Amino acid sequence: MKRRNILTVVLLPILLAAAVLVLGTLVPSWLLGRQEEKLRAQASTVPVDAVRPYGDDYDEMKNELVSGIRAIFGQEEYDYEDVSEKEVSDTVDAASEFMQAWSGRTEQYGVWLENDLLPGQVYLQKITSSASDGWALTLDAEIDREPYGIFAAAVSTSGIPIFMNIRMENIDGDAVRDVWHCLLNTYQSQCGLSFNVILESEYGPAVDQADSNANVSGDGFVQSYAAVSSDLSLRLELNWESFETKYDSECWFYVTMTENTENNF
Amino acid sequence: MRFFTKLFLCTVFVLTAALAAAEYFTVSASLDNAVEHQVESGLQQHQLVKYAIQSGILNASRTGSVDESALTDIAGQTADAMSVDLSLARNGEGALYSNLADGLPAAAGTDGGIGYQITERAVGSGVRSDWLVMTSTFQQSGYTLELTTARNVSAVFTEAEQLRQRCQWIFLGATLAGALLILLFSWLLTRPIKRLERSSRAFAGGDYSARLPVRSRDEIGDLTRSYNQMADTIEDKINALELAVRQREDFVANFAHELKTPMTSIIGYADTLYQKQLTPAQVHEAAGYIVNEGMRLESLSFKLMELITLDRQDFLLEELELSQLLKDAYETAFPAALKRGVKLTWSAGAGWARVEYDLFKTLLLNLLDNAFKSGGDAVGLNGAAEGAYYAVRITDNGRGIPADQLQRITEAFYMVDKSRSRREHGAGLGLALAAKIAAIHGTRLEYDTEEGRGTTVTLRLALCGEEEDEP
Repeated sequence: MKRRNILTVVLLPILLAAAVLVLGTLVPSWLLGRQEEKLRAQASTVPVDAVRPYGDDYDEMKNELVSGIRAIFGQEEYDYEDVSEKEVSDTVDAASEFMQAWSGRTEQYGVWLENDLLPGQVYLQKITSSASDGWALTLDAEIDREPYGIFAAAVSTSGIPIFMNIRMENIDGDAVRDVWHCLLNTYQSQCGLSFNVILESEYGPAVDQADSNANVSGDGFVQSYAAVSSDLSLRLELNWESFETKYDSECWFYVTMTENTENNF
Repeated sequence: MRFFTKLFLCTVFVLTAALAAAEYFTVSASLDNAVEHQVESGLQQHQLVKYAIQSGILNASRTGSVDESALTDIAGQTADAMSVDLSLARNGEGALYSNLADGLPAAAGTDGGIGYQITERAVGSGVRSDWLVMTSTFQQSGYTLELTTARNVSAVFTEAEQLRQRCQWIFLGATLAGALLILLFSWLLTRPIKRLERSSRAFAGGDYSARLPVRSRDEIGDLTRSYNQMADTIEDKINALELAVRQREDFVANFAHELKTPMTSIIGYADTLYQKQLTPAQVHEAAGYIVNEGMRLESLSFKLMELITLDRQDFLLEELELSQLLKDAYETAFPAALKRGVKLTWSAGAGWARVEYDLFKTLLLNLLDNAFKSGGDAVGLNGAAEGAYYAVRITDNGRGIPADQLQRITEAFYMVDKSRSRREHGAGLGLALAAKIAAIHGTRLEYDTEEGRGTTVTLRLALCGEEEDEP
């Protein structure tokens, strides 16, 4: 009877407690072992679009740029809507900041873009298109600085230039290359957009640059540059043309950003 | 198994299960997160590598056509620049470039996606490493290329194992510490139950005074309180039973004694008459003693009979006018008062109550008889309605009753002054009868007594037509 009591009162509880302790140690180890095996056996595929090496902000910006590009260059019909600066102040401010950064960079190479890029009076229009669910903003200005004062640009919602048309006093071919590299660096610093150059053409005479404008006389010179974004989704081009007019020598910059739809260049 | 042990084991089990679950979920979540993070950063790296190779191909294409050798160079430069393990192959063909560790299989990639898998690779004897292998295919400059990148994720599993070991030590430590605390708390929680068990065992063993202090307001406190109440009740019942037994023993002893005293006298005088030649005067005296004692015996037997009868019968109470009943009692008792030289007075107001006439009259006569024997010279019998009750008071100016004996005067055969009672042919049954009759009428005898100044006995009967409250 006493022996049975010892078994029930002392040994059995100790054995049960020990069993519980051992189970508590072994069960999690066994479950974790199974989980590791399962992880090792796992094979999966993720869509390329779901992988965002530059982060969500980059993708958001890229999508907005693509929307703007489609609004401007889409094949569908698009609408213009006059807007005041107050309505799109954020966009205008961001675009202005971009221009300042670009002109700041070019100054280091002796190219003064400030007066040509940031005119005081700008005519604003919002472009929407059925090809896009976003919009772009055009900034048109005639600068009171004869004979060069022409500036036109289209920017995305967050003020990143998609298209620019600048008429200015002529510069030489090396300076154009500097302006181009400054533009790429500005895209990198202001928006995190990194471009790989795919084309840098030689400075040369235009093949067919005769202008019907009475002010233009003689043949001009052209230079073209192109780059694709590091994720190969966007293409940026800069075309430069210079003309000798009867008053002076002048040049045009055409900057265009488009979607890069094929990688086979 | 004792309750203490059960409580301890159950709590230890719950603690162990909770800690084991916490250990598992902590390590599991950590491993999942680490793997997920590795996969995410691996895929991003894979994509960046792909962009770098594509850019490299684009740059190369600016200066001329891109051949396989150029692709190999681009892949090598990218691998060096980005410090990444990669393999670049033309789709379905051998690798143009590879710095992947041997034995790593390519994951199944598709045109629109990046395939990945974690694979284990033997590094040396018994040493293995885990690799995350990612593969995708893409077109560039006329080539369809398959890119495979790999990153060593052994650290993830090593860290998970280290975390598991740390958690296991924590688990063991916490379980042992918890078990000790549970042991302490189980002991503290079951201690009142143990005390209760000890006390109830002592109570069962005959220690009816065994009680426990109520120290808490919880269920244990309630249980202790209930136990104390139960013990009080049982103790009261046992005391009452003991008192009843003692009273019965006293009754039997007193009855035997009261029977023996007159019988001794009767036998003694009868023996004298039988054996001796007595003068007529002596015979008359002896016969007188025999008659006297015989009458005492008769009285004793009648009263005993009444006492027993009262216990066994249901009496039919009827509404009677009490002043008349009191007057009848007065007239019956008057000769006895006269004989004892006691002045008996009465007064009674009108009032109706439910009584059994003969019993109630017997009650009054017993109380009056006691009052006559109290040693006083005046006895009053008064009745009057008082609110909802009719109060009957028998008052004497006798010697009174000692306070310490008030409790026992209604016991059968109990006599405050035995010698005086016997001298007056008392047997100690009158007040016992009176108390029983009062109980039959739903009332009780109230004594107001003071030694040397007299006694007033009051009984209250509910008036008819009035609410019946406790008197």
